[in-house]
Amino acid sequence: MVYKARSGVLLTEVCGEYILVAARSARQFCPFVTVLNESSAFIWKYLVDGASLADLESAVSEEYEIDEPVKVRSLLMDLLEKLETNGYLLRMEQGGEHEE
Amino acid sequence: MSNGIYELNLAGHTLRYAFRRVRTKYFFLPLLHRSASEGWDIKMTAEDLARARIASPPQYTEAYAEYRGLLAPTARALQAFDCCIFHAAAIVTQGGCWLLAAPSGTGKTTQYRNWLRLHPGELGIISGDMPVLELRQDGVWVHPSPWNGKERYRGFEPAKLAGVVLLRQGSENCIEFLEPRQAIPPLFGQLAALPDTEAQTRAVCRIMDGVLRSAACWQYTNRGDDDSTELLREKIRREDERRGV
Repeated sequence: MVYKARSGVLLTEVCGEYILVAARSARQFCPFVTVLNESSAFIWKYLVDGASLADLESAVSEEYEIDEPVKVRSLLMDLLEKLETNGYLLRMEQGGEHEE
Repeated sequence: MSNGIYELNLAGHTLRYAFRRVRTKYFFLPLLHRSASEGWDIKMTAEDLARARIASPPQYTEAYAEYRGLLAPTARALQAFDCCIFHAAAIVTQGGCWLLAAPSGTGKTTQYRNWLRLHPGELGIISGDMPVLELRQDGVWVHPSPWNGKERYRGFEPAKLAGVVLLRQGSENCIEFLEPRQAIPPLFGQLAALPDTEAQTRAVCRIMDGVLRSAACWQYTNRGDDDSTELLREKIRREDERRGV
């Protein structure tokens, strides 16, 4: 399973805050603007090109020096679920696409 | 039917319009001028005009519908110049321009009218509804536009942005400072037209970044009465003093 950011959604910084901004092509699926915290923005950068849960777990564990796989997975799943619920994220089978 | 090409200068940038209805140009006066050019930058399609007409109250003319319908394409065209159109009453104090931002019917004009009545001659205005914000090196500047609300409150000179007050109706008068992460969603929500492309999106983000870095941003829950206006006036006066203007 690969998680991929919806195209047309930009991660950018406004006055020191990370935000997701949806251009027109994405706005029928997700809110125009959402503020992210730093760790969510860090994870988003991996989602732009698509990443598996294992890739994300590895990146987060290394970046934040967390040696608790269960905790990392739980935090990631929580974020991924929120992003998917809000229309920012697509789940794809390896080599396929998730239908809307 | 094309009725000649007209130019509108907004925040120092000239846009050329071709109107579909003869009388549309009157809603843009006195900012509009006849153009010597034969080309145009903005023209509504017949379909867009039909949609604008359907969206307008039935007593409004097609020319008025076209005038209202041209707001969004104008706002997007300005994004190429690091400008945007922002839904707010742009009032002017000694310290500069304050944007009273809120959805329609929330009390922007009420605050302006209360202030004029309670303290005549103290306040100027740039636009009663949709000023143009321009990002410059030294901050954000606020400019007039032809879209000024039903009362047509407008000025002719720009002013530097001093602050933004996001208005909400409430049973008590309470002003709170907003941190950037709190201010970002409602500020973006006041854009007159959402950006279409990535370039336009980055432009509005730059402008909002400029707003938040250079101007105070408050949320004001208020009753809309005279006391609420006096509180707002005092808060702005203190902020202007603090900034040394």
